[in-house]
This record gives sequence, C-alpha cells and structure tokens, in this order.
Amino acid sequence: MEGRHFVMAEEEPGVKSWPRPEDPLAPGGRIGARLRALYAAIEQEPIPADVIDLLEKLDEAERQQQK
Amino acid sequence: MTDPSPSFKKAMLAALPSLRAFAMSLTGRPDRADDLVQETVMRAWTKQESFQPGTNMDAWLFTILRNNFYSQMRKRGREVQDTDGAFTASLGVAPPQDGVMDLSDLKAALAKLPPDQREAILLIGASGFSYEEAAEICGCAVGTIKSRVNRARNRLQEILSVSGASDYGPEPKSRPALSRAFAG
Repeated sequence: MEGRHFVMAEEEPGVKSWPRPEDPLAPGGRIGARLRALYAAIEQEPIPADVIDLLEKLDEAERQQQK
Repeated sequence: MTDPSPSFKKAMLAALPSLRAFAMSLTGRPDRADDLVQETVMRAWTKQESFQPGTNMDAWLFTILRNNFYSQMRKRGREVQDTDGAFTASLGVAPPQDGVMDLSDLKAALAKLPPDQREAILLIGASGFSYEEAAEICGCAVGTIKSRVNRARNRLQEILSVSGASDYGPEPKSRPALSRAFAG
C-alpha cells in the first residue's frame, strides 16, 4: 500500500521513521510478524456489501450532480 | 483536468481492509467495526475536499475513523470501560490447526495493554504506519507514540516469553485459517 513501508529510516526531522529491522516489532521480528498475521487474517475477510454499496452510491450521486 | 472521484473511490476501496482491521481492534466486535467503517466512508466522502492529494489517504481515513470512535465512546460514557472487555471477549476463537500459528497468546497479551499503548503498537506493528503517521492519527507527539510503543513492546515481550512455547513466526500459507482472528 502506498505510503506505508516497512523500511528503516534515518532519525532526521521530517523523515518518516519505522521500527528498525532488528527491532522485534519490525515486520520480520518476533512480535511484528505476529501482529501482521493478526491483521492479515482480518484483512482477508470480505468487505461488507453495505460499505461497497454506499461507496458506489456516493460516487454515482456525485456524477449525477456534475452532469 | 479529470474528475477526481474515480481515483478517490478507488483509493478508499483499497484502504478498506486495513481500515476494518483497525476498527476491529478498537471495537472488538465485527458488527460495530463494520458500522464504524461505514460511517467513516460517509464522513470521508463528505469532506473529501479536505483531503490533500499526494498525502497519505490511509492515515487520513484512520484519523477520521478514530475520531469518530472516540467521540461515540464519550457520548456513551459507560461503554468506554467496555472496550477492553470486548477486546478480551473476542479472543477465544479459532483453535489452532496443524501448522497454524496460534495467535491467542498474542491476543491475550494485547488485551492486557492499556488502550493507548495497544493502539500505538498496532498502528506501527500491524498496520505498518510510520511513527510520524501514527502520531498524526492519534493527534499526539511522535515522542509520545514512540514511548507508548516502547512500553507496549516491552510488556508484550514480557508476557509472551512467560507464556512461552508457542512463540514462532507466521506461515503465510496458513493465514486463511486465521480468518476469524478477532471475530468472536
């Protein structure tokens, strides 16, 4: 996903920072890998149709308005 | 030049799975997580002019969802204390199968953390945000996020090393079997 990377960043102002690779919280780390697995499981569940429908309707309404 | 809405819709669709996982960790209940996501989609759409193209849409959506969740909590008052209970109640699920990582220890350990620390470590370790993005989402200083994450990480390590044996990494092929990780 754009803008979200598990990379090491230098600790400078204005530069985004993530857990360092050796950190147990980094994606390959002991805890990081399990936290990721926890979310990955939920992320694989289907998005409820209601939410998709809502988004389609909002988009459609906006198109109609712009005509 | 062109109508910006198709890409806005597309970006929102792409963000929904991770947004929903975050909602699950806040509410601990699939029905309330889905309501929260739905409300977030609605709000985000009505204020899409306030989204700056080129900035991180995920962080923007997470902020809206989080603000919405906490303002609901404040209105309902009593349920604030219930958040921990709900998170814990969603734990007793998905008995591990052969070769499947048992995440129940991790979930039990997460449930023991103070909500602000749990939120911080999930935003960084599970959602994959930078410390700066997590600070933006929570409306606090980067140093605050780092210190919450540190405390959460230490506490998790403590709890998990005590609970011991089932401490191994994930096997990607086994993930579908975990598909009800938070759901109860």
